Amino acid sequence: MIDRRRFLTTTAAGFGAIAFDGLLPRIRSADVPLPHYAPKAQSVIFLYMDGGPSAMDTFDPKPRLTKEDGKKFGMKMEPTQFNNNGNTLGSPWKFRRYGESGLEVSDLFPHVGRCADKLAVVRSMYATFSEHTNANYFLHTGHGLQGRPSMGAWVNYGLGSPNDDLPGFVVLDTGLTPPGGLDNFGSAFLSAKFQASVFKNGNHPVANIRPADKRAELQRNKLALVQDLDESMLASMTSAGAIDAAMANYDLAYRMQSAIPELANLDGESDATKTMYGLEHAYEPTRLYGRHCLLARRLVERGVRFIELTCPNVSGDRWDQHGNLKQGHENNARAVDQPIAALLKDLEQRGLLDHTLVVWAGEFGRTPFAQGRNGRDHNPFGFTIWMAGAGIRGGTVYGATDEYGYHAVEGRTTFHDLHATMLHLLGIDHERLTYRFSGRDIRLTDVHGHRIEAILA
Amino acid sequence: MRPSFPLLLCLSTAGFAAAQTGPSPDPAKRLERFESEVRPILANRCFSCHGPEKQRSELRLDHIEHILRGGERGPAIVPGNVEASRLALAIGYTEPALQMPPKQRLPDAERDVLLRWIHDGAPWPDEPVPQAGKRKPKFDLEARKAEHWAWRDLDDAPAPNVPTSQATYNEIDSFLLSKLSSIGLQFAEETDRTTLLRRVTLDTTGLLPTTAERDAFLADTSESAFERVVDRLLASPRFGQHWARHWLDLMRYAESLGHEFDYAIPHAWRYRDYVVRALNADVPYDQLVREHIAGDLLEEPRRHPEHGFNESMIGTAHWWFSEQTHSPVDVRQHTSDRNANQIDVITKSFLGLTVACARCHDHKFDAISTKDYYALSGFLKSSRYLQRDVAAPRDPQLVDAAHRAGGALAQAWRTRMRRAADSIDAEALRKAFDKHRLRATPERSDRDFSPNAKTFVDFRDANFDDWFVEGRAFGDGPTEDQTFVAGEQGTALIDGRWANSAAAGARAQGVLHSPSFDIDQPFLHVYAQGQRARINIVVEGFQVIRNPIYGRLKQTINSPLPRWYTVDLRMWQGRRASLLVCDQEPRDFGSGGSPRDSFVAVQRIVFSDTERAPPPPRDVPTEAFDDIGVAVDRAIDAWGAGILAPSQVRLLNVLWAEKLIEPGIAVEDAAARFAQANDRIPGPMFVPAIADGDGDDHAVYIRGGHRNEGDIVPRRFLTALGGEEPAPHRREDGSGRRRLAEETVDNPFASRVIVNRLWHHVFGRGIVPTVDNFGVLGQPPSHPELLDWLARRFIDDGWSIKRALRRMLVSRAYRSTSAASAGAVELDPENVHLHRASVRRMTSESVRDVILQLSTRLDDKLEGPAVPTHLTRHMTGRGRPRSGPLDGHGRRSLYLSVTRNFLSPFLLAFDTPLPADTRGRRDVTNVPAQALALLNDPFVIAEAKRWAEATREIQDHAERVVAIFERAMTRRPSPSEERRLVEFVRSQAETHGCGIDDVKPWADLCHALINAKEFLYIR
Repeated sequence: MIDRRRFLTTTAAGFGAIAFDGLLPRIRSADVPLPHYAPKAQSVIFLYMDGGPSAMDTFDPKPRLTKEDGKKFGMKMEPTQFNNNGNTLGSPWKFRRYGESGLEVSDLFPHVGRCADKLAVVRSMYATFSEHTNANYFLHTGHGLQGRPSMGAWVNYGLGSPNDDLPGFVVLDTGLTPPGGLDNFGSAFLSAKFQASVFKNGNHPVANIRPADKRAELQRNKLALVQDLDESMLASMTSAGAIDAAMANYDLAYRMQSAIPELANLDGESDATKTMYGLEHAYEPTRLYGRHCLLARRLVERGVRFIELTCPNVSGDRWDQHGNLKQGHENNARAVDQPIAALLKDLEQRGLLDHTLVVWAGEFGRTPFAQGRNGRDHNPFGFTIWMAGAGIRGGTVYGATDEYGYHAVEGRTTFHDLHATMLHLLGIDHERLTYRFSGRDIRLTDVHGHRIEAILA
Repeated sequence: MRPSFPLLLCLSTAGFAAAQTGPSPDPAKRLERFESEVRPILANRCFSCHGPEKQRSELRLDHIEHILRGGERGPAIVPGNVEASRLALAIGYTEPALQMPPKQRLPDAERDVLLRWIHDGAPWPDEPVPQAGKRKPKFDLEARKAEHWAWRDLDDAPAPNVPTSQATYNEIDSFLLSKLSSIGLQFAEETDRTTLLRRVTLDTTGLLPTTAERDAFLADTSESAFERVVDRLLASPRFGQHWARHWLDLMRYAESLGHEFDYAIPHAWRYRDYVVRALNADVPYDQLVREHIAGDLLEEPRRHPEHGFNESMIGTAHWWFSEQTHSPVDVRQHTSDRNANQIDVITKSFLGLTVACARCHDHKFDAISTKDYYALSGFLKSSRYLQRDVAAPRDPQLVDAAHRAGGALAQAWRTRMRRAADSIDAEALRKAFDKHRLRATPERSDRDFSPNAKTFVDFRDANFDDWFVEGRAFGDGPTEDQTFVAGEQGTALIDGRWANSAAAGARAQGVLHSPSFDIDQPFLHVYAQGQRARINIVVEGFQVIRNPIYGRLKQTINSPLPRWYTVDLRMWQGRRASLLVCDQEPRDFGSGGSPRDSFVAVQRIVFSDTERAPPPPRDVPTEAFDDIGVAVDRAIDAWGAGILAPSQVRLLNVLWAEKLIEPGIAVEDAAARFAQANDRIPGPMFVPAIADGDGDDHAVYIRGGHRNEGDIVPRRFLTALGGEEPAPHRREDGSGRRRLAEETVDNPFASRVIVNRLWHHVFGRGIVPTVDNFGVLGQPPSHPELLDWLARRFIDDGWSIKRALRRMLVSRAYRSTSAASAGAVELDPENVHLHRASVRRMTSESVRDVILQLSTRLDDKLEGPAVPTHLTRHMTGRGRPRSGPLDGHGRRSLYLSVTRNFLSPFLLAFDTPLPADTRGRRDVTNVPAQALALLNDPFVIAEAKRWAEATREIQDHAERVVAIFERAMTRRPSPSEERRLVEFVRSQAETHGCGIDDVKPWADLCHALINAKEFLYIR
């Protein structure tokens, strides 16, 4: 019989405890040690911009749209979701150049603009899905349908987590669950230990994390009894890996009960920090998002591999302005701009930005022509994302859309390429991170994906 | 795909425009230019994928012959014709589906060079054609079939002889022992009877044995005591409840469509109950498979023995458990994805083959071609989703009684109208006619309407012919006489020669659906009359008919008088579609349906290129304005005599619709009797089922691309399993699924795959461990002879699942202890050879069900709509349904709602699979969420308390501790354990600061036991 304590310490799988999968085929080829090469990044913070922010209103200026505002649109229109296409719609916002790089950012993002020299902006994204749900699955799992593991699950499957008391993949749910639901954060056929733990706002962000017992002693007594019973069971068994692992799991769950409330308690943060993140902001969505940006930093400090933030619920809608673009985008930007800038600065000040990759992306962009009078419909043919932090060359622009910002035409890039780049920075060769399922060796990048070399430092 | 004409408009660069108009240089010059400008571009930009090494899309561009022959999509260029050249389209970067080079468009200068070269006739020097480079190995179906074990026929080797000294209970043991002894092992000793009883009860029913059952088994010293236990358990209705869940895992059973709004699949739960009933009744497996493929087409459908409804039809519901998108921009892509999932599920489940891997290319490893895949797709293209009524045939006497009551009501109206006719206000009548546009319409003829209009159907001179009739409502053709309809939705007459859903009585429901058609005109007009009924246009089989895009494909029919309804089809021109006239409660996916007494009638359907509908009929009953009394009298006479003119029908309908005549007491009494008579007829029983449409073969989608159609493939089964092209198609053959059903069970995979699944659940590991994949990438069988022997016995036994299970459960192998004997761990670390039993965790459903069983809350009622799953605050998102009770009303987990985006987190934590695809083998994970759920979930806490309260009447503390312990663990605690438990209760009471008879310390004891591994694991 294996000594349980020893078993725990020698199996450095971290949070996930030990899979009871002697029945399953080997999940990773034993001869591929991970990481494949020295990583730049240890953690990823993914700022998910739900609904699809408009590129030509944020990071991809298009003077021609302004010039032809209100005129008939000058290119062939692809089918759109609502098919209520209007005329060319110029951006209601001005763009300014920021920093040494002179990167152009619209007035929706003045705070982020001041971090311009940290950003690598990719203006030539394209995707093949026009609906939120498929596009979200594609962004999160590399596949447009339900049932594939989320990128955070892949990262933890590949690298494990250095923190024994917290999950390796955390979604900070600020209010809006993306279309497609929790499967955007799932582990699908990978072990369930790699799926995201979804943290809500508040002091008890995880389901069942608050001990049911009124006093700690009551729970400890119970666990002591459970342990006695389990050990007498173990004594009668010869092959008890499963039981051992299940027992170790209780140790971890027990520790999580205190680690997670400790994480969520911001009493130790200075007032200056809290103010910088917007925790005192007049606008409630800013406060909520600010709190989660701060939690993201705290998770990075604790070694959590992959952190995703969802958007807060602003009045109106997610970044999905089929109508009323001006007000909707302003509300959404107001909620996230200051907290994101604070996160970048705070990470840098604490020396964490060097090994943290920050990604800002929505599932697609928006049309350069109006939907109705003042909205924009979905546009998967050309849109913008940006990255900052570990291994990223700041102040760069990569790729381009056409003059209208409709189609990506130079340096065309897909989410597969984003995934390949992200894995590369984590020290993983995306072609070698595979899982045999349903008769195929499946990858996050399917059979696609190239690193975006031009934005790497 | 044809390049679109606007191409040139987009290529607006000056350079090319100049080249077009400039003089063409002489041939030598052109060749020189080719070498200096064109070939370098092709070599730099194209050859790496379309050259001697690789031929993506089977295209190479390193010689004009190859270029002209082209690739999968056809010739790459048409010399001299830029617009018709695919290469020009690709480098033009205007067509999202075809853009080359894939990463980045060419610099304008290079693009212009290539376009000019095509324009100039694509000159190429006279040089030898480069030979084929590295060739991919040819897909050789026959060779693959010959090389892989699973395609072979079942072996009929008898069980091996083993020395009589070895304990065997049946042939299974002989096969296993023969292998075991070859590696120097034998069975571990038999486990103790208490452990065995707990194991077999959990494995068969998913619940624990009671203490009384344990005592009875321990007291039965006869040799066949265990066999009797097995027989009792297999006969228990709880058997079906437990094993149905294994089956539902294969069928990715779900009650909603997922995606953005998670629309309901109405009545999906009836399928879950069907599976439970079928397993409990031990319906032969081959029959079940037939029912799944073509239960709607069986000559003698299986009927429920008591209620008489059509069971076989319900088996087809699984076709519609695929995830479906809300408002897909590309409907054909959506249908193609759905078909892939449908084919994946049936072929993995029933054949253990990954046929859907052949969607984009011939299977990489197995003897399955892309043509095989699209041959199967044709069956789906030829079939339709419908909510179908499976209720038992109606009692003709009840129907007749309702019919007579309807006649009496009509008579009462005639009497009433005759009396009241003179009191009708002529001015009000005039207004009513105006309102219904019956009077003021200028006369127009159909010819004025649109010269290009095309009549799709006109039931005045057509019967149902190539239309499909679903349910009872529409009878078997347009009614010859007028039909009188009355009920909660109002009173009306339907003229003769209309297709009408009141043909078979007031409450009958049904759908009339059209032959498939290609949408070749932008507007469709339907001349219809009805109340709360619907017309759906189903495009490419898509039936989530919702806004923002698809909402316009439905028309609610709600007019007491006939009028034209217009459907705007501009978005779907060129698509294949069908039209559904629906008078039944579930009208598409999602919720919402028609109330009682709805009806619909359709006379004509016309396509046109104008949005304006055809003119309404001209025969306005003008005499009504001269003398309303006379006009009504005449109409009543004509009605009684059955010779109503259309104008008279209209007059009466206006009177009813505008309530110009009050019914009066006699009519109200007759109406009440009519309603009562209808109430006595049992209503319909709907199920999401499949129905035949027109036989339509499917084209190969080259490399899986739905915009890239290749050859049409006739519908047939897999080539390697003898699927042959059928005789020329006749309409009466329908989709051909009936034959597919036979072929699906008539092959060596069918029986092997199912006995292997049973084995997997009994022993914890399949003989083929990859239970859903018997292909090359699956794992080979550990005991091939045993697998074939089991399969043969299974067939000989009439495909009986229960008998096959019994054989496994009573074997010596099943009764071994889970402890390994000395040396066995080294010789067989993964216990492949079953020298001992494997330790397994309870399934997620069992964990929850057993907690309910312990707490006495369990309600093991069979059947019925799902209990809504309890939603925690962590479960958010669009389409959030209402939350259910924390304890699910005590129902077994099988009956909790399976709403795709809101699955039970408790069950998910313990590895209930997502309903995405076939899952014959669940993951077994070990995550903190499991420990946290059992430690802190309010459900667990509440049931632990309930359990403690249920033991309150046991006064003696030690007795109470023992009773609680043995209920959970089946065994009695050892004396030292007993002392420890009593001590726990005492000290926990102290910590709580309460008396020992308070429920709190006892609830803590119950709670702790639920967290013990001995409770969770099956030994």
